[in-house]
Amino acid sequence: MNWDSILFWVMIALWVTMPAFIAYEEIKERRALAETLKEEA
Amino acid sequence: MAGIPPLWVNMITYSSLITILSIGFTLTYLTAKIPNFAHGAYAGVGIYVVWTLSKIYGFSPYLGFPLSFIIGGIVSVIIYVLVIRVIARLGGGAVVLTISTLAIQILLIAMLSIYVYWARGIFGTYGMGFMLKEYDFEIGGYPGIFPMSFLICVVVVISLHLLLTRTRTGIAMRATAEDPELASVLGINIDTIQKMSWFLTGGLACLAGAMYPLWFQSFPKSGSAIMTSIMAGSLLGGFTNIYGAIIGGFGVGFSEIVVTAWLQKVIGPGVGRWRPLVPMVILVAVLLFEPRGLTGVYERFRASKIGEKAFAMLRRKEE
Amino acid sequence: MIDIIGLLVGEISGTSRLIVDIAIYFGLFVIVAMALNFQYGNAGVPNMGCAVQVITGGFTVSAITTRVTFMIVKAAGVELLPFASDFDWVYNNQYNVSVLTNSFLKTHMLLSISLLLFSLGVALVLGAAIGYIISLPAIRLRSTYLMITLITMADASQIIGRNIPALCGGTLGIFVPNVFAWYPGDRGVLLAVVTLFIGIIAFFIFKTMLNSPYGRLMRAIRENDITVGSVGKNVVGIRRNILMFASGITALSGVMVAFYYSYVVDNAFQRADWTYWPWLMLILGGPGNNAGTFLGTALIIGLRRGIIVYKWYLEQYLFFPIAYAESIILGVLLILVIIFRPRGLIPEKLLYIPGINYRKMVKEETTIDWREAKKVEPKTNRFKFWGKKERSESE
Repeated sequence: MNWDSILFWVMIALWVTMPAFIAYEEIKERRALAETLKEEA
Repeated sequence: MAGIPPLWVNMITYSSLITILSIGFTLTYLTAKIPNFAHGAYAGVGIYVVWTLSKIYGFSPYLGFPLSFIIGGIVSVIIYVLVIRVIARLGGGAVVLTISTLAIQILLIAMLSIYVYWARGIFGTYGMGFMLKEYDFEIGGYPGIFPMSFLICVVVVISLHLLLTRTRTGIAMRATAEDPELASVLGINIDTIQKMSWFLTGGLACLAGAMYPLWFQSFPKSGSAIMTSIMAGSLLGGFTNIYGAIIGGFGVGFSEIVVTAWLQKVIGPGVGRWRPLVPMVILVAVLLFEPRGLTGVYERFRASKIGEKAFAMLRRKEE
Repeated sequence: MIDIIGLLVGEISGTSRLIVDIAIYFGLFVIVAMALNFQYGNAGVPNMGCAVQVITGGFTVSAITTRVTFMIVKAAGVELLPFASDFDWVYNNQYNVSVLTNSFLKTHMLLSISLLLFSLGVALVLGAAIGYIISLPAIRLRSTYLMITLITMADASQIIGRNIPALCGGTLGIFVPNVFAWYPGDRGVLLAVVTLFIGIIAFFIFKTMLNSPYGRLMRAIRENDITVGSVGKNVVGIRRNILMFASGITALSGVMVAFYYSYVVDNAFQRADWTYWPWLMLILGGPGNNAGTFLGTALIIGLRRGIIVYKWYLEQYLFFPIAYAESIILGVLLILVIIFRPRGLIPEKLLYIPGINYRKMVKEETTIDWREAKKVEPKTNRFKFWGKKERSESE
């Protein structure tokens, strides 16, 4: 069990999670806004 | 001038420097409405102008005083035109302009360090931690900087007072500081007046910086290191009052040197390490108790009952 | 890239070491930058004294955790050199820590982890306390006074740390027990994982607070605090709470710095490092949203680490040492970003509240300019016949 490499990939996963989460939230917001715009029009 | 204890010599020299810098800082706050954190860095420019003249070309540092005033003013105006005017025109608020003065401070320190490094390669002299005491003359057994600094401080105060109250430029500066729109309606060219006031404050800071290496050990960051004392002196006297800055500057210099020495006699020699904390304590105390500094105290005194009676008495004496 | 994928059988060195290094510094600075974004980008409290908060975290580790460790280790029977008086504390510190304590901690994994959590918790509390103390003088006054006070407090904390040996060994510094001694492999990766984990937790905390009524209150205070005060909210108290909360989280970053260097000295917490660079990251990325902070932090950390790693290559072009080049880059970038991209690379947008349609509430297109003023064009030297201003060049 090479702990180093496992932890290395865990670190990369954590590092990538945050921007991924932000991007996910952005897309969700944009989609909701677009839907409300479509409702209006 | 016989027998002035060296502590008081130290105190008067240091206080004169801090007073000139505090006046400049207050003047910048009055005209530009921002605290200029780069004020100490301008003093650093003055230090190295005098260093270039004395160590490299061998002139007396006193000849460097007017030269550093002019060079400091020019550098200040250049920075105003390049950075501060641009940001102010783009609509920057107070916080953004203050951050830009911080950036200017960092840039100036870095450029001075590079200049010292480069000059060491070419001229072979050391610019870090130098003192120019051997270039000084002596008066009555005291180093010449002691009466000269006090004299220069008095001259600066008097000429600033005359400039601001008697000349047209000075009155224009005061008008611009109070109400720029009204001043431009009256026909004052705001931009030229701003340039003049930045020239004045930059020159004053460099003048104080030029006196610095005659007494203290100088580094590129020396000017910024006494920034805390400058701000404390300015705040003590009331942030927007030039005459208060005089009292504030001398008050801070007095506390730093004389009160520390007295505490060292009473408590023990360990107090000396805490000396940089003294202006910070003054700063915090002023902000906690009376944010307008001594000016606020004076106003409160005048509005109180004792003050009214005292002023009525003074007025009756005049009649 | 191949040697990274080949990591599954190897150890960490070379390029992957650089990545771990960048990850650790990213984690440390992103916590500070996110807390700064919380204070300034959202609530308009300009906190120029981040260095104080980070130092508090460092001092927690060096003063409190080390002593607690020593006491526990002593109670477990290991003979330590005396550490009661100040002189012994500093002088015997290295031997105590590196030889005796670390070998003890190597075998006690639970104790080490609990020490780590203990120091994080204490740092949170102490950071909030320091936030309260530094907000005392100037939180009621204008932001100018707040900036002046906080900058001087950052200097003061360094001086206090330098002069009290019990805190961090005066000018000599204190070695800190290695709470990751039980880990058989490379310590850096584990530290990076822990730091990034704290970063993620902080990110979620900030995000939740931002999208809540409290977040909207913060934005309202930033825009117009007089109106908020007239509605009945205690503006000063809310500002103080924001400062305290962000202080606590910044102190966590200080704890991780102490454990990373294994050494705490007051010079490690320079004002430029922990105040000016985070401000640059914040302004570059865009104050007011977390995505901007991330981008700014990533860019700046990449830049700084890149400069350090490729120093030999750059010094052939520059005739002065790299340290000055970093300062110049800091100053120049600050000014350039303020002039050209004042809203940052990722500009701020209205807070998303699910269920509320903005288009109905806001008729015109709003742009959020965190510099509180609109663009002013310089007036030209034209004569205006019916106006009063005849000679005007600037405003």
